[in-house]
Amino acid sequence: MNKKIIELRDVSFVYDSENAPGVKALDEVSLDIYEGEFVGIVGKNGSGKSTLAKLLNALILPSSGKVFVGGMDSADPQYTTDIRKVCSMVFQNPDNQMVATIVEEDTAFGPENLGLAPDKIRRRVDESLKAVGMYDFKDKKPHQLSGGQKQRVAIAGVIAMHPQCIVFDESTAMLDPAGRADLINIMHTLNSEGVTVIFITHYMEEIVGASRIIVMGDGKIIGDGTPREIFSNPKWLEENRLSVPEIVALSTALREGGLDIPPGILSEDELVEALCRLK
Amino acid sequence: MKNDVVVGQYYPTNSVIHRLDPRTKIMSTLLYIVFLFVAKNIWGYIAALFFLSLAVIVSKVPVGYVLRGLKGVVFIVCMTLVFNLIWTPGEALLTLGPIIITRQGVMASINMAFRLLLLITGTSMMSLCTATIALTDGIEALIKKVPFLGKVSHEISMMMSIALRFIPSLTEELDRIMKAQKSRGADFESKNLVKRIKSYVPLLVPLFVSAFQRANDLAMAMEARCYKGGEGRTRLRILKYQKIDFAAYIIVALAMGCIFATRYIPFKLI
Ligand SMILES: Nc1ncnc2c1ncn2[C@@H]1O[C@H](COP(=O)(O)OP(=O)(O)OP(=O)(O)O)[C@@H](O)[C@H]1O
Ligand SMILES: [Mg+2]
Repeated sequence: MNKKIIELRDVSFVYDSENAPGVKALDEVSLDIYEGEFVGIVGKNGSGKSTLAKLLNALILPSSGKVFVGGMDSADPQYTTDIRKVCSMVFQNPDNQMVATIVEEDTAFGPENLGLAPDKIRRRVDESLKAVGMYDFKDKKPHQLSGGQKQRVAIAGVIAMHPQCIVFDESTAMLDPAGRADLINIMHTLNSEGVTVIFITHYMEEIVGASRIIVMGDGKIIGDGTPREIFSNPKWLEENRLSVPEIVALSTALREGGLDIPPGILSEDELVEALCRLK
Repeated sequence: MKNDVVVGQYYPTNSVIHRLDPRTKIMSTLLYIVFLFVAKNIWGYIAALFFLSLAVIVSKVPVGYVLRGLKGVVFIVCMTLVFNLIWTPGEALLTLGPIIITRQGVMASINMAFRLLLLITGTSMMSLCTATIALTDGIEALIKKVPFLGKVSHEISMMMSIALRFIPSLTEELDRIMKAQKSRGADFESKNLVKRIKSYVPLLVPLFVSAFQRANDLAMAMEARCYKGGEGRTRLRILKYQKIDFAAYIIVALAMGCIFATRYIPFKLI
């Protein structure tokens, strides 16, 4: 088994606001994530996904329980920067995460904060922009880019810091289908290069290729397994207000219609094969 | 692009002036401004105009572009002219009812007009020849040298660069909100000035809400990328003076010397 990169022990998180009683966004959650995993996280609105994401980055600290990232306790201030180096984050809104007035300066922002030497920063900026296919845009201004391009720049800014783990919090939500597909491709490439990917989304189709899916509901983890395991129970998913990828829905409907199709089909190819095997 | 007009107006040509260190350009512009006020007579302005034209030619920026910077300030220049003309005491040249135009008034307006026009064209030359990013870098490096301000030079330049980054986003946002309110019957073109100003008030609330949301998001994104202030931070680009910068400083010094010398030209043009 690979090394543990993230470990949550009985973590609760309560949002305290002045006038309302605290909202318990996470309720005694325990979770281990290992190096090299591609974890999809789904769950209805307000189920605590973003809260979980921010805990992994030490952007917020648990109200109770412990969060360890790369073995470091997030509550210990001396590790805050190191934790953010290990585990980075790409947010939802492509407009609000670019800091600098031109693309390459923005990509350099993270390495600059790490205090790297200028020639090293230059190397990292170039390689990161190339990795996301934005090298030709390095002198552009943010408002000259499309949403998908901005999001790719945001990823470049994160990978320039060489993190071991990247959290994508609904990073595809504001993109068109092509932009979304691009982004997911980049995630898989990064994952194949050894980066642990944690991808929060509302679109089930996007995480069919994940190695593991976690389902959140009301601040708790209510499902955890491979896509095959999670999607093999469409009734339960619908009860939790989650959709099922089209192919899964189709094969379930066919099976319920009396055809002899095995449960747990995830892709078009698998369905075609199962249909061909029928007599 | 419409938004490019809002923030600076960089016009890339890769001329010698474009390749100068931003600090050289900022310092030269500051010197130029100071010397516009040192100049005492029309000869000084002619000399300044001569050196400015020289800079425009070398920079390869089309003259039309340089002059475009004046369009927005014509009104202010006219106002100063009028005020100078009617409110300067002295020997009367012309009396129009209660208004007395004096010789000193005419002189003062001519002086002011020259100064303002040369000042604005000069500074817009600087922004035409310097990319915004270089400009903020240059300002940061220069502020670092100023006593007291030096300690916060990083914060100041961060603020400038974030402001520059978000001005286009916020104008876009304002545009969108205006359209949304127009479609619900808001009237932004009323002839009545009070009415028109009032119609802008409802725009401010959504604009501020969205600006704060953005600020919140951005702060979080910056923190997530290990931002913890200027301490221990390095830069991708490090400003370094080249030979052309020293040459430029010498030329600027000579030019300023010439402008200074015009103070002693005895005969008056007007
Ligand atoms: N800043 C905040 N202040 C107070 N309560 C908050 C805050 N942020 C989130 N909450 C509450 O915490 C709960 C979990 O929110 P969270 O943002 O983690 O959900 P989510 O799963 O990311 O939802 P979504 O799918 O809408 O992004 C919600 O009930 C939400 O109302
Ligand atoms: Mg969320």
